[in-house]
Amino acid sequence: MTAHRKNVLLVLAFCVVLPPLTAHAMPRLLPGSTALTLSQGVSLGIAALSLNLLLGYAGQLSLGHAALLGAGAFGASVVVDRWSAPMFLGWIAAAVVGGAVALIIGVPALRLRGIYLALVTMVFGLTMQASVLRWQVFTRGSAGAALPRRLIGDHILTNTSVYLAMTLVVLVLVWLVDRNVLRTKIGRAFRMIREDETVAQAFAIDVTRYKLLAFVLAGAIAGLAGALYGHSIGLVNSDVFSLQVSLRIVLFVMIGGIGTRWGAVAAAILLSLNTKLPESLRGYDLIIAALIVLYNVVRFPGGLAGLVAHWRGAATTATVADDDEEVAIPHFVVDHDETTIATDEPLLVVEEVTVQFGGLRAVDSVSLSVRAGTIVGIIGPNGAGKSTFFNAISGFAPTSSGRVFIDGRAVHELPPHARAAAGLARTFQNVGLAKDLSVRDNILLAQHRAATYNGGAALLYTRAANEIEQRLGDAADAIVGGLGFAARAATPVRELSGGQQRLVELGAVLATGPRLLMLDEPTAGLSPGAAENLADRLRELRDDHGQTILLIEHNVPLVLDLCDYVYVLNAGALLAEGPPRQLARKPEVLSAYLGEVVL
Amino acid sequence: MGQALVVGVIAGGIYGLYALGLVLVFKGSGVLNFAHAEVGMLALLVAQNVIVGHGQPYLVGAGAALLTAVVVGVAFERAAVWPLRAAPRMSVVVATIALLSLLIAMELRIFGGLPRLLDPPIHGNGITVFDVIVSPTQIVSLIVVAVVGLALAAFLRFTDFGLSVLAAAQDQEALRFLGIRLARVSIFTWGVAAALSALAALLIQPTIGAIAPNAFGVLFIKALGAALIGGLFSMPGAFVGGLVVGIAEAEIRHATVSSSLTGLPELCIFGVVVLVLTLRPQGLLGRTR
Repeated sequence: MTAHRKNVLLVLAFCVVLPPLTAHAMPRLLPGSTALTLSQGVSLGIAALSLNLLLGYAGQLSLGHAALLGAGAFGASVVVDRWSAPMFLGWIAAAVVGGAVALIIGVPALRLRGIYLALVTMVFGLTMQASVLRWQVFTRGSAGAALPRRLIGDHILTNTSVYLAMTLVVLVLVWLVDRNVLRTKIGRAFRMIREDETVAQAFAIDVTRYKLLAFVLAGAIAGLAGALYGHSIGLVNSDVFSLQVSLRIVLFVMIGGIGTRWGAVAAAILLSLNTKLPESLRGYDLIIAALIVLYNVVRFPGGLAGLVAHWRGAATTATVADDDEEVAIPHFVVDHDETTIATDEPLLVVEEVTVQFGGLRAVDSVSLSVRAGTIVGIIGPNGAGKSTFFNAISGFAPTSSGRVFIDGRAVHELPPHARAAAGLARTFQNVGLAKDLSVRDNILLAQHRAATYNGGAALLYTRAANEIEQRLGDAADAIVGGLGFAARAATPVRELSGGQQRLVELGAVLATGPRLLMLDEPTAGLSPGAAENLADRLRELRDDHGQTILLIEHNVPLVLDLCDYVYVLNAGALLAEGPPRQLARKPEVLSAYLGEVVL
Repeated sequence: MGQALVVGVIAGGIYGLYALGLVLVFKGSGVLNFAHAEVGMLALLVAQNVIVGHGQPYLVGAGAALLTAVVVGVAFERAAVWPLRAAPRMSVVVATIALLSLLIAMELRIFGGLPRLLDPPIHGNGITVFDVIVSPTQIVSLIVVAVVGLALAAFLRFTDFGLSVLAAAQDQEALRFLGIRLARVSIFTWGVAAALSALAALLIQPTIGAIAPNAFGVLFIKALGAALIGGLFSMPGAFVGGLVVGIAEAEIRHATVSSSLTGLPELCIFGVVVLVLTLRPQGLLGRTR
């Protein structure tokens, strides 16, 4: 049975079995008011899932979730109360309204990070409560908007246990969607954005789009949660959706464990039962919850990422393996057999690129071309502008003038993720991987472009999406195995040694199926033996797979030995170029840079 | 026009006082304190309890409020800000969010969710300016705002300790080499900011009337708006920002008094906050750092 079919059956089973079951069992176990309280808890549990998706996966903190709940509840009220439609339609409306409002908050959020994003969402929530959610036209003002549990026509659901069952069914549905997010490219993109937006772009992930998607998804789920919550209260006004509710949802997620689905839901349901506590104990639960969060923040001081990592049980005691360990470079598994036909046409052409930082010309009108199926090296002393030039080619440094072509196609105006999608893959000096994710997840992530299913298919985890995911998973396993990391596939990258991380990065970059492989100091941190070994593998990639490679390297003898053509940069300008043998004899190169090495 | 101006200046001065606390902490610790306005709320509830619940004079209540705020501010500094001094700033921000949740939970637990009343400290007829009756309390409030603002500015400018507080914002490493105890500077910053929040809460209370839960969230928006307009690093800017927010609020309220859409001033301030944050995160009048 495929995973997809399992999902469908599970949902059907829940829909059929749960309502009658709880309708019979609940009244015997608990009084009706408890069922309503529980249904509120379940609704807030769904809201917690929404924030968990945004915060735990995508790393974006929202302090205005109550406003999204409110938007959903009032949207549902318009449909169910004013238009007398069944409440199921109201729920759909709530999700749509919530998603739309989240889109509005998502647009400024794209430009903001960390503190400022938290600020804007908090101010957004407070303003909504003080303003829009009080508007008579929309919410009936302070009198409140009614949310009858209308089944159809004049039939109102009076059995609170059945309503509880319905909220549970919705919880299961949202849970499954959430799980689908996490196991597809969407969740991987979210987590990569959380870890490092720059590296995400290098893996061809459109950061803007995925951030917006995270907000809209979270908004839709929050809107739905708001409608469910409103239906269990029956009558809502703006005061129901106060800052306290937003903060409470944050507490649920932080207490339950950021990024932990069941934890967030359990915390929401348990903490919502506080109204059933005896008067003398009531209210202490939230005080304790806030204190626990405060304690955790102080104990695990890594910002949001630190908290996430703590909850995932990693990084707190980062056991970085010994860096001196000899790394044997494996034969890379190259999955894509679309061997580039070596032609005389250059694959990469860079024309007079200039990068200016204030008054400083870090790269001054440098041109370069790389023929397909060759290895080209860039050398130069420290501060020559090599890495900046690399950044300019891959789109991470703003160029003030110049042009970049891949296969004749102009890419110099494209953002980094689009250049990556055009087949330009690169490594970073400080290792461009999601370090809190496992080795295997990183390789999966690198195959972002090969995950060709669309967002809807991902959320439903359709058969097509399932098949592609299976294939990518197999490919990832093959690559991980080929790298020699089969035993450590589930290990967070952070826990590997520097040399091992570099190796995984190389595997990941190859897994993107690049036309051009750009390596920034690939032998840094490797022993001489391992460096020689790596050079052999790179030769193999070129000779057996036609892979085109452009690399920056400090190890000059290795470059002269490995590369077909070499450029020498000095003080941001091109000093010399040519085949290695000729270059090694040029006096200006010798004096400027090679002198100390060769003489 | 004139009416709105008077109302705006009175409220704006108090927003400026709030913003001053935000700016002080931002300069000292590089953090926007999300719990800033709520500290004042807790202090105000304590004052109300002392004055109404225990029948003490207003000044005793005000003293208790200031003491409460300083205790909360300093305790938070010791428990979270100082241990996290080398951590990413986001950690401290999340800590202030936890503090905000804690304060709200404590207020609900101790004082309940019902609105509470507190009579203004001074009764009397007041004076009329531009057809607006300015109560004696409001006159006192204006004087207090001006005196506190100037006194703080003078203290920071003209005393050695004050200068080290300002310098701490610039370069903590250098300060350590000069033998200045950063811990003291940090405690001072958070303590004074908390006291400013309590003072502002006491001053704004007669204007908003009943002390209801949730009331202080909206004040946070205004304080933040003031701080952002003033440039997050500038204390005089915070006051200018406060006045801008206060006057704009009064004018918008005056112009839209017949509209059925409530909260338009807040909506406008939100719009300004979003615009400033997205286009000029260093603040409208602030310099790039």
